[in-house]
Amino acid sequence: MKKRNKWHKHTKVNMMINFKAKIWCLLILTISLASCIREEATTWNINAAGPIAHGRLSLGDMVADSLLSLDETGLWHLIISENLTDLNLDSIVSIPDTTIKQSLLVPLIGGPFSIPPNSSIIGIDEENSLNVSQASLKEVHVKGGMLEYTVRNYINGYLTCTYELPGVTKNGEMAVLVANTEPGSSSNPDISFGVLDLSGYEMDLTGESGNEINTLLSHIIVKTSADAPVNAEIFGMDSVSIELKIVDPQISYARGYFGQHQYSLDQTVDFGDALNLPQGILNLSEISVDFEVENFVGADAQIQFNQLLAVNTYSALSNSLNSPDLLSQINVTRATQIGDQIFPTYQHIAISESNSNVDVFIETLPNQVQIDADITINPLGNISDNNDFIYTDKTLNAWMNIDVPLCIGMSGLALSREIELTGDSIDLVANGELFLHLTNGFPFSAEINLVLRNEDSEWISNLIDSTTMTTGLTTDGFLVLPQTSVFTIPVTQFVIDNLNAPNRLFLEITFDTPEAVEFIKLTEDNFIDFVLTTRAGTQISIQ
Amino acid sequence: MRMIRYILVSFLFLTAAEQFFAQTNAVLLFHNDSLFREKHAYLEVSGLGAFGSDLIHNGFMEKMYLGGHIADETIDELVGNASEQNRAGLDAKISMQWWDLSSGLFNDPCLQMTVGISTENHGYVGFSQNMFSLLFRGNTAWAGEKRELGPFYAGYQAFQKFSVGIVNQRTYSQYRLSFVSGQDYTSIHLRDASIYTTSALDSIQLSYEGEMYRADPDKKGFGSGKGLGAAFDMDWNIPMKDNKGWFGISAYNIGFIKWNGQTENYTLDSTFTWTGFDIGDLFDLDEDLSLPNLEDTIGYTMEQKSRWIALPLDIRVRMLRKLNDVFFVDAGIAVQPYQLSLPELRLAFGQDLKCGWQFTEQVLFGGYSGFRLGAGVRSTALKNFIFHLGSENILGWMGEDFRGRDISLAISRIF
Repeated sequence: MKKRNKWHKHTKVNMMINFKAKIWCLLILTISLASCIREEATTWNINAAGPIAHGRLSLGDMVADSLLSLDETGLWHLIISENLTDLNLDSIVSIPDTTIKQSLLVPLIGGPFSIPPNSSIIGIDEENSLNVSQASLKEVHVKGGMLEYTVRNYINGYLTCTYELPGVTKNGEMAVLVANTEPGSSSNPDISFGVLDLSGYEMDLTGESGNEINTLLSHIIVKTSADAPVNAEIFGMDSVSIELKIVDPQISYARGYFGQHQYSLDQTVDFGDALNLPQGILNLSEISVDFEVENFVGADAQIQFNQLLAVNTYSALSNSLNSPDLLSQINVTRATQIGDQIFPTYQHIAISESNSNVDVFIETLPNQVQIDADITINPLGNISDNNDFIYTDKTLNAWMNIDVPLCIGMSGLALSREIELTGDSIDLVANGELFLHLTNGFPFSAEINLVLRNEDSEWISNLIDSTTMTTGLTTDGFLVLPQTSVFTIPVTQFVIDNLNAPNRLFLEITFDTPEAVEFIKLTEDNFIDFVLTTRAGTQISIQ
Repeated sequence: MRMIRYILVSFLFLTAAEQFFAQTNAVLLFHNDSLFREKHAYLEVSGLGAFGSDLIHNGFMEKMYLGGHIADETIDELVGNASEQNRAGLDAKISMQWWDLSSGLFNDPCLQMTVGISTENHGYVGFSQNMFSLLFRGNTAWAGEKRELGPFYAGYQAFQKFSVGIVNQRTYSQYRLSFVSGQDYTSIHLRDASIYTTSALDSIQLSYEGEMYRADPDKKGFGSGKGLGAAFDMDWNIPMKDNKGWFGISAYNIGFIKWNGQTENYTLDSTFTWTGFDIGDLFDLDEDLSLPNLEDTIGYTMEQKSRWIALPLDIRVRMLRKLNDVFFVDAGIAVQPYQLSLPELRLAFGQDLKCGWQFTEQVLFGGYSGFRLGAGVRSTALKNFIFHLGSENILGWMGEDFRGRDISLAISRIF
């Protein structure tokens, strides 16, 4: 018993020691872990200096490069060439879907008659009138469409129906439709169906006499089939029905008299963003506008421009072009054709400041031109003896070519862009300055505004407030010696916080020539270089 | 997961003491007979973490690791104290070793089998005063000047070892072969680098020439197995003829990892001029305003291919000598040839108290930190347990101004 107690006591001491050891280990571990958990970002301040952004603003940034052209003196010209006509002249010679139905009777009485194979039963020539209401067509070439035919045989015999169209040829070969039918009855005809692609076919619509219009000649032959196993048993008054459908014919060429047609042209030519024309007062000189009409159609036309309106949708300004030459009736004579060659006719109307108010028209800085015109085809009627012609892929084109030599005077002409900030919330702490270096290679001054706006474009703060950059020095002729101005933008935490928010940055450069009436020539050497640099203390943060 | 990662890394850092692992515990060498008589097995669980630098002090390192704002004065002081070239390094390791004391390999009752697993992290960085100043003070003061930034070295390896070996129970000499699973590897070496900021601040020219390697970036985390390798570790203890001490030679991490074919090999040789984002299309409405990716503008070539890398080798030589029944001295040298640490001279003075406690006081010179004082305590007072706690930079725990800090902790159980 004593021995047992001693053992018990010894075990108890060991347990105590083990327990203390565990507590010590646990304590050390706990303190170690608790004191070493990262609870915040590591941050420190640095003073950074360097460039942030750079770029060059030249004329090509205001106007799409494709619209600019340099002349031999190095002067930029703004060339705008717009197609003014959007006339669908295909429609004057269109052939609607046409269905031709013929019911052919056996020219016999009584019966039944036993007709051996390969015996002719019916033969007939027909002139079929096409449903063309607006034109009197003598010839058409087809570039698309289908000819669908259906033959119904009510005769008790194997038949071969041949439908010849002598006026429909392709590469000189006549279109022939052949349909074989099995024996039918009056109550249960045998039906044969087929399709012919009309692409590439030429149609003579002058009928058998050669003097008709819109008339298609056909020749139908119905025979017992040459390989019929039995004779046909035919009664008088048995019949064969033939249905021919011209479906969606597309005309590539037409000849005839196209009729007299009048079109109203109410069209808006939208320059879109291609020009990015600035807003303000612009004085231009030596502007020329050429209207050109090119007629490939063998029909006369008359164009009457009622109004050409230059519209600036941003400023809500508009100006009509006042040009007696353009606004009077323009007669366009027909093109001529010799063999396969077309000789188009041209009309050219030159508009300048001397015969119009085109300078005012362009100085509206239009982003749209609205055109109101009437066009008459064949105003004198059928004076060609049904020999008008048209190739539908090349018809009547009217172009407006504007040539603006960029010899300009400006007053408060503003080029602007609003940049949407992404609000990515970059965790940036900084205090310092931004430096905007502007090197002006334009021979006129410009005023800079850089404004911070909120999502609704409401003012928050001016980063650069109506500050004028130095004018490039004109040395000789077009040569300009660029001049550099440096603007300082204080960068405070307020600015950074707002740049990190989903706000907007509005940049506006407003140009002024020394006198608004003074014209300055813009050349390829004119530009504004901008370099944005910084020297700021910022806080680096490592999460 | 993030918290767990912090906890694990914290544990690695705070359970640090490089030397404890380096060579055989003096307790074992001096108390062999009494400790292991009629015992069957020995299990040791240990951890170490060490950070050292010849420039960066603990206050700075704490902020980098634990977070917080590094004051301008602190950075100014470090830049002022920096040499032309500076170094810093860290080692962290957790290990578990099992000795089977009854295996009697090769019919020799003293040759026992040992198996173990460990996870190790080794990192170093070598940097110039200008590089440190650029990163922590910026380039404003250098406008109009060209500054050399190189050379710059940085390396990091993390791996796990699964080892099997032989331990001689008479001398505690050990020879282990390990299968190594590579967790992570990054290395950068810039032989030459410079920065030039124009006085107008409109361009920054950065020139660099060197290499960078990064192990398979698609695999992440502990035990990711980005590479496979092998290692040999040895710890050879030779008793002195008078049985009053030991000579010891050890070599750890003789081996390699073959990092897999997804390892990114960068060749950096370019002069990169930064003039800011080109926003020339600002008013061109045909163009969307988008900023270019800065990384795309930095010149480098990269190919992915496997790479053989030596493990961070650690070689040590020591002499452990009893002065009398209580006092002993432990002196030696440690070299880590593949890292940036200097050869380290080590001298320890120990007291082996017969009540089961052993204390050491150390003087060390070299490594990453230079001169250090260390101390450790080992105890066999708890029956069948050996406990160790120590630090080779005891002053590192006393203030933020000291450069380096380490601690080691080990608990062994004898069965």
